[in-house]
Amino acid sequence: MSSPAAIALDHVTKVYDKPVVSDISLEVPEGSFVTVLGPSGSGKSTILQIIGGFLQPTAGRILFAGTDMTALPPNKRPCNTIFQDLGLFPHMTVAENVAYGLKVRGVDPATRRKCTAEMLAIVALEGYERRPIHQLSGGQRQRVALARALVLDPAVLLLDEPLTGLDERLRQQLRGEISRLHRRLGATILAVTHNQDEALSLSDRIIVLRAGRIEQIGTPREIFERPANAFVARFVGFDAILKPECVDSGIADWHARVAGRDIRCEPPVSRDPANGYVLVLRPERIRIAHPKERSDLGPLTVISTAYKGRDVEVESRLVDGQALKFLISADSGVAVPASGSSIEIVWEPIKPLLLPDALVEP
Amino acid sequence: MAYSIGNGSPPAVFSQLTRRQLVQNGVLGAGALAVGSLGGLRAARALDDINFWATGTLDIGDDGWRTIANDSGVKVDFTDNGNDPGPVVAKLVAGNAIDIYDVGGLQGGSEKELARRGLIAPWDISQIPHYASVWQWAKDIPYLTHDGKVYGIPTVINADSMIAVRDKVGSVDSYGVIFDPKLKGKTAMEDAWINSVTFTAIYLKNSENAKIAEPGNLTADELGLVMEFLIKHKRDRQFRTFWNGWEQGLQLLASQEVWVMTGWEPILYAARKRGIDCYYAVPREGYEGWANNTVLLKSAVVRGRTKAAHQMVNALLAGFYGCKLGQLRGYVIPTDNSVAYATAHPNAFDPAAVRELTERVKQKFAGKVYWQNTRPDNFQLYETWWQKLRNA
Amino acid sequence: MPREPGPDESAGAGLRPAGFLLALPSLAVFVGVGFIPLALIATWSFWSFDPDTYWIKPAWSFASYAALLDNGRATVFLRTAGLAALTATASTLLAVPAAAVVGLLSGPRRAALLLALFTIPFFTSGLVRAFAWRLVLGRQGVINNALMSLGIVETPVEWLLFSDFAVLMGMVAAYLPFAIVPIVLAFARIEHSVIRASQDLGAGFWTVLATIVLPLVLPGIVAGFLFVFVAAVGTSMEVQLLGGAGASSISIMIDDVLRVVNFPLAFAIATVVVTVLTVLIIIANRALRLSRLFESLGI
Repeated sequence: MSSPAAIALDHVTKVYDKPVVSDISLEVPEGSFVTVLGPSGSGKSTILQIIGGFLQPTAGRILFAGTDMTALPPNKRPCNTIFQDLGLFPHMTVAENVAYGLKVRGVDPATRRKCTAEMLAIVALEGYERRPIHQLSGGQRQRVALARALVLDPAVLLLDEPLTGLDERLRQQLRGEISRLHRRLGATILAVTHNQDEALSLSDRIIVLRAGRIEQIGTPREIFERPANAFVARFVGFDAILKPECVDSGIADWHARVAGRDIRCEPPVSRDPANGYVLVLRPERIRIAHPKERSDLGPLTVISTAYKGRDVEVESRLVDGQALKFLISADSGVAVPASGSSIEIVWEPIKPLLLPDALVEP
Repeated sequence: MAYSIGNGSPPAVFSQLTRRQLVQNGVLGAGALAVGSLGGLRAARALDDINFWATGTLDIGDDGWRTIANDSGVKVDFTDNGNDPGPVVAKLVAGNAIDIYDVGGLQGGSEKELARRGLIAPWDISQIPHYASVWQWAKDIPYLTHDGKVYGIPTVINADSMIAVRDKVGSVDSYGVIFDPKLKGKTAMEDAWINSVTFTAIYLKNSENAKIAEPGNLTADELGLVMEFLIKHKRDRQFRTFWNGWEQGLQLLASQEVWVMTGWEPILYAARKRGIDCYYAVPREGYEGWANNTVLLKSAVVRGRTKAAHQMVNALLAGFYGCKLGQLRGYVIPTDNSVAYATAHPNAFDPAAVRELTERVKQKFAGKVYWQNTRPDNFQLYETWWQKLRNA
Repeated sequence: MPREPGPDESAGAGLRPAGFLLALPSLAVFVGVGFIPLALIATWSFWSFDPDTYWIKPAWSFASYAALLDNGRATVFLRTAGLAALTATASTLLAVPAAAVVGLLSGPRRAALLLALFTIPFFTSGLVRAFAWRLVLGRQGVINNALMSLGIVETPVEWLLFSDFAVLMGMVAAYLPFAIVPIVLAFARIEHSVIRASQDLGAGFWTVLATIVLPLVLPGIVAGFLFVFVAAVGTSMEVQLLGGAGASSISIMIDDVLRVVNFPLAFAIATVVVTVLTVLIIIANRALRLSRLFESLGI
């Protein structure tokens, strides 16, 4: 590696009653946008607080640009956090909020004013300098928080669930905003979120976290297309999951047997997993076979159907008792099967992925 | 509690004017006065029911009043008047008290004023057979009569002096010790001009030959003389503090903050119970005597309750009431009927105790006594001077 | 063309009189209990005492106000205000760290417990509490005994009791909770993220305190100061029990004056006190929007 990462976690562990973060090592390269993705309770906020200096790790080190800063308090670290509820100063105006960090650092008033004005222009809040915080909309508050952190030109910007709690329109608008700021300022950003869309659309790199452990690190495409295991797969939308009776390695394709049917699969990346394999598919890639068509799996009994707007979700059961949910496009013209009817399904030319079964809590 | 009756029972002593009470008495009470008469509320009473409006310590409780009713046929409904002469007189003059109550029990001093205003009526002595048994010197208290008629019947009578801690000040017989520089910071008086000014005047008149005619009713010049004397000693830090209320006075003695102070007799008894060797001095300058007297409110006459009122007052002097008050608060009624009653009812009261109590008071009044006066002619000037003393 | 009212407007128009009617009872209580007595007191303070009726008679006289300046009555005002200000200052200084522990560092359950602890002194009567100070500060009190047995002094320190010092101690002990409660509320309103954000932006402990915490609790501090000040201005108990010979306060003076039925003077004293306190509270409220403190209580 040419230059050290902006942030590196070196075997970081945090234990309360039990470990919430276990032996995590990760790197955020200079100028990159890295997202820690995980469900609530996975330890992602703890990681952010450890990096920010608000929590001390039980073991391990935090390095900023190669320098160990594990023992430094928050105000001595070259990073800034946008907290989930922002933490704007209610007794200050917009400009005072943005200039706060500069003032604390002893920057002279003229420079302070200049930097503040520039940053407010970047987040499109010119003219709002003297507004009190309680007169701002939710989106404007988010932008004040961004400006307040970015004006300090931090080595790393930490985002804690940046888009949580906003309505959909605002979420999309801000997503664009963050992405634009990242590109324009070249800032290094580490975000934590439980939202896969957010992670996929913003990040250069995603770290999937589960119960304090890293499940996979990869680019959004890698995570999205080649999830490392069933947990990650489900997290990025592979919701149709089947447990095979047996799996055979073939020459080109692998073969798995499900409910007596032979299914061609993509060759797995990892071999001989401890808990065996599962087959995963995206539910929107499955369709009901025409009567004369050769099906990939069947017969299945339709348990129920639910209208979901663009799609209809079909809940079905295989003869071996395994449940399978999939989606059929509502405007595809395909008739919605009646509950209790027997169907066959097709997913060719796509082939299911064979992934290590990791759905059981470790 | 600035006035020395009502000193018997600790609960009453704790009822100093709090701010809340101040608002009630001063502001809302004044409002009620202004709104005017709310009389006639109890108009449906029987003619032999008497509303008795008096100092709280004169109450003998439901059982006691039931005995009075059985003996005299008069049903007494007791109401505490708060004892403070200012508000009491104001409620009689400008308020509706006159419309509600029939007989008042007031700390002596304001009878003349009330008589002059026609708010109280003279008693018909012939209708109070037991009046004959009242000790003569008690009948002679100057403010009980007006224009030759009897307006006040003394109900409770006592004489106050000072309490001294024996092992600290030895045997003393002059109020002079209160002002003795050798006892600087070890003496106290009551935070009430009604008593403290009178005691000081008694001392100056008798031991320093000050020209003072009547210690209980000072002229402006006499008052100035007395107050300058007090102010000088206050500035010299002669007094540890001025006490307010019975418990506070007691605590001053118990904690030996104060070795000698003017004070009520019940404080002395309580201090002795706490094992403090103290005594009530017999001052050569004389005691401060006080009486709480019953007055006949004019409105009772108008309402036809004259007869019942006389019967009630007669009952108060008959003996039972004296025994009961002696038992409850150590008070004495100025008649030998109490002793007679106790002798006749030894199961209810201890005759020896009643006799001892009575004799002790009689003995005090055998010497020199100056009467406490809740309504000196210059009473507003007293307050002005007291304010100067506070700020000296 | 006449414009038809929109649905919103008609609904609003229908609500307004009803809202007014709903507010009437509380308005009536406010006027009846608060305003009218105060207005009467203020009016009567200009009347004069009438010996014939033993009450007051209409007159537009400033005599009572002139009397406020005589016989050291003005001194009583100043001394009472001074002692109250000192009490309020001391109480506030003590209350800030105590409230910080309760409001900032404790969880809601522990905060409730701690607040409850602060109210324990109120389970006893104020008289008993003030009395207890005599046992602590007296010649044979706890402090003098300790000082003498340690050999620090030979004879008891006299000024501990029956002095302004004793009154101050008694009042601070009595009214400290009045200061703590609003300051706790102010602390509790500070979001943790605000403090974290300030640390995150580079502020050390003292900078956080000076630039974030103090400005945000200032309304609570001022409210606490005012609560104690108002209570201390109105008290007589501590002065009577712990003060020196004949020590005075405004309410003791009102007592004295009422005892000699000088009603106009009593009303004048009350008018001055209420006016000064009202002005103080209005100024503080305007400047610091103290009322916001109580928003979270739903008052």
